[in-house]
Amino acid sequence: MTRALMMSCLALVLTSGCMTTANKAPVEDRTGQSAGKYQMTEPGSAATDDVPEAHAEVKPYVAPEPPQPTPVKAKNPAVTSLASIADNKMRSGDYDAAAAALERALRHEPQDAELWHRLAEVRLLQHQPEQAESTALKSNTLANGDKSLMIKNWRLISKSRRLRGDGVGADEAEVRAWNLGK
Amino acid sequence: MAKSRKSTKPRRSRRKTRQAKPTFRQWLIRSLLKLSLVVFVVLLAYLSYLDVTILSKFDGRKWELPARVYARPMELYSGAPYSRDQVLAELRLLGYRQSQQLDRPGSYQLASGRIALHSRAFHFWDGQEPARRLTVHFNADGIDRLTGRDGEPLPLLRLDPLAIGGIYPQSFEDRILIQRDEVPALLIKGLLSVEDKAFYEHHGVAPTAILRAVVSNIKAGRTVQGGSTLTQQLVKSFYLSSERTLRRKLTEAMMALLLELHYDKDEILLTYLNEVYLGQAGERAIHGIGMASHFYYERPLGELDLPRLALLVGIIKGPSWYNPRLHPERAKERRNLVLDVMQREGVISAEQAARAKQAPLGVTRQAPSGSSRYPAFMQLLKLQLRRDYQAQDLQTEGLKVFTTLDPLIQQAAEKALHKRLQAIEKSRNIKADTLQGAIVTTASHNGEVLALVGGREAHYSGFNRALNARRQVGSLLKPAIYATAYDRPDEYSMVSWLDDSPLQVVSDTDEHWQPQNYDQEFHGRVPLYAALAHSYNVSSARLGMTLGLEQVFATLRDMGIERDLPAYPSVLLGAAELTPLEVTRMYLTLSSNGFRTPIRAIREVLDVNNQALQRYPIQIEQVLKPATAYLTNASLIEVMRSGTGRSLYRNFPADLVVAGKTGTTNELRDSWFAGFTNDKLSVVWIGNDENRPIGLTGSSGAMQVWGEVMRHASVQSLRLTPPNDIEFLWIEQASGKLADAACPGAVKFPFIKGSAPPEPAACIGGGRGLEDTIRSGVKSFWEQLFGD
Repeated sequence: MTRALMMSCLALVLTSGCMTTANKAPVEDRTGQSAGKYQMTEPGSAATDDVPEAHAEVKPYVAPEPPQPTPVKAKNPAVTSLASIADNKMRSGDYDAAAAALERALRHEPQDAELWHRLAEVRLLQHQPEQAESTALKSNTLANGDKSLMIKNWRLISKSRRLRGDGVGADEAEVRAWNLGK
Repeated sequence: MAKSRKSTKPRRSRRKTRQAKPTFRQWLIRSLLKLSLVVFVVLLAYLSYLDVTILSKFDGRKWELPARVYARPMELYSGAPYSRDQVLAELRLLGYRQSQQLDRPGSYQLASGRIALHSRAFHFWDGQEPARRLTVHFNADGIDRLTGRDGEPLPLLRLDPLAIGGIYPQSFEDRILIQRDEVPALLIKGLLSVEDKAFYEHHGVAPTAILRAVVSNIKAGRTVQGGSTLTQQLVKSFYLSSERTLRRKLTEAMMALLLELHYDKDEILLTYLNEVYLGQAGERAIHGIGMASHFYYERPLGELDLPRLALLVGIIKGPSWYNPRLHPERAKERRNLVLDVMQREGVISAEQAARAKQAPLGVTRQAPSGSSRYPAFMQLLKLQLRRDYQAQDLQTEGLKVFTTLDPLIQQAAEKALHKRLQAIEKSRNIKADTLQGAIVTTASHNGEVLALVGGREAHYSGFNRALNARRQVGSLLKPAIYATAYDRPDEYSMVSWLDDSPLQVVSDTDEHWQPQNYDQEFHGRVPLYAALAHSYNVSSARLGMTLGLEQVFATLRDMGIERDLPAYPSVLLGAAELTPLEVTRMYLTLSSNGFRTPIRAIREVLDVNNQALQRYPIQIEQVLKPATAYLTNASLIEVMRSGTGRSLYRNFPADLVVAGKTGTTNELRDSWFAGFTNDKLSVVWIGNDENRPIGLTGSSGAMQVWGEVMRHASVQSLRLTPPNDIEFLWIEQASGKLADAACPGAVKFPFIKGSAPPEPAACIGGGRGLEDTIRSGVKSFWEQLFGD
């Protein structure tokens, strides 16, 4: 039963995969698609393949370099110090001060995914589930492949969605966390 | 009862008999008694009226206190990107002075590669930052480390923030309230020696002093000495007009007595010190010794030495007569007199007095301006404050407003605009002083405004172009078209082909629109990313029309363009008018990885007692998918690497990665550039106020200014973090087809997983490459479904 289900699932996935590939249009569709009350009319609407090659000299593309993950030891001492201030404030229940310390740290290290995650935690404690979710999503965009951090973020997102009464969204986030953990 | 009734009658009759024969003497006594009773009652009423007056003003809020506005505090820590010169510039702005001892807060010492300093204590919203002695060590990249007095490492130090302006009440009285423990003992002793020796003994008035004054005034034939106590002086300036009548003198004396009855000496003294009038700058009246210390010396009261304190005491007698900036000789004479009196009273030694008399006045050459040095930023700040505060509260409650302004970047931006506009005018034979410009600089991720320049004469508060100049934006809107395309990974990737052949758009009212490229040529088939990099109009317009105007407009709204744009196709190419601040909002969404972030000029607001009223925390909202934002930003990096922005690097560090976009409008009326690095975002506009052609493109005008600002703004190279659903695949650039590492001329491109071109390039011959590529494609597809 389970096996059969999995197989049909797989079949479905493969066909949809094929369809996606087939639908892909590397060439722009210019068949005079309506755009509001405006219409494109192309003189001599040549197929794209007939369009002459670009005559501008094309410089070879170079993809942007991703950031190097910072080893824990190399962490900025100011950021470490502010993060520990935030921890203390959080423990003593002064969430505003905790958030402020983290925002201060983020001024120095705006791409530090761990700091964004901590801020998301504080937002949750401050009863700001929307901001908690946004901030956790921000942490994820900067996570640079750090799976354990992404799992923590999705769990936090799940919690904040549940707080807002979005049970389906919360489950979805939990599945995301679970899939990352596999 | 009965008894009293009985006795009533005879008494009445007796009275009648007396009244019948009043002698004159009796009448007089009675009249006088009545009169004195009336006088007494009236006096009592008057006294209690005075009493109420005194109490209400003294117990209530005594002064209208302007809001004080502060710049961001500079934070020093190991790894901070500040050079020694920058830290030094900040210290000088703050009025720190070079000193051999570092015995007082607000002093520093210079040595090669380091600065030793004694920082000032300051009350921030989250508590007191104590005064500390430390050494800041520098390396080539900025601050290497901080060490404390005994060489121990310090993690972090927040300097006191620069005061950048005030929001003044109608009375134009400017003062900084001080507390009793902030007043130097020498100042009080000096003040009392000169103005009121018996202050701690008398009850508000000192008859002997009045007598002495009267005698010496008669002797001199004019008023040479006042007999007023400090209490009387306070009453005079606090409650009364300046008329010189006997009645006023009496009222003054009565009020002084009453004041002393209610309040203790220290409280009266402190009120006096905060009230006393000490100078004038235009409409602005300088009150209180706290403000006077900043007004004359540009430093806090606690850092004043003996000669400076003595001068303050001396000025009280006549702030305009003894104005040390206008009449230095007169002021010096007065100061030295104060020093003599202090010595005579035993407050200071003869030696101290002699040394202090040798000292220069120590007054700064120019009075710090009450109107801010940064009027354009102050305008933005006031707009944002008005959302939460009444004008009245801002002018009178003594609020402390902590802003996001970075004075160093602000100064660099002002200078860059001024200098570059001059240079451009000169080199292009444009009439001098006709170009105008505006700059907005924010932090890339949290939306804090670091600098705002509203015109080339930044210190005059005139038309603020950064906030109010609405100009056509040219190609600056194009990234929204490409973001809309990248948001459809099953249709578009960076290497999708766009058609840059002639295009005509016809409306249902038969209007024709035929966009042209800047170079007046058509470029045929171009990869999507390159069309943006080279800012091709025709292919961008065609892409926008194919995606749908409404969809592109929706993306623009998501990115923070709140203004309703006209729904014409030409808006795709920037035929829409926006202010530099609005453009900043849009690019901030990109620089913060697709998260919309409000632009903020305020961090915190404290009340007069340093209690936090409000914090303005960072608020973010994801409006672009991370992968969409990533590909858009990667394309904007290509603008700078190989496209219309590449000439930036003639004058810019080659290793500093920037994402940016140029904007040029019809007939070269406007020159725009918006760009960001890891930590800073700047938008620059150049044009003229008459909206006439200026002959500059985005790259020949605004981008030059941008480069100059950002070179000084201590920027970090842009490092895009690829989100989880981005993969890098080999592409044969000539064909745009999937390749492998072995293919000649193959380069890696980022793709949203599953969006790679389906066709393999012919060069894939090794077999291994193709299969690997396909297999990895399938795997990534699986990951897309079940992974993150």
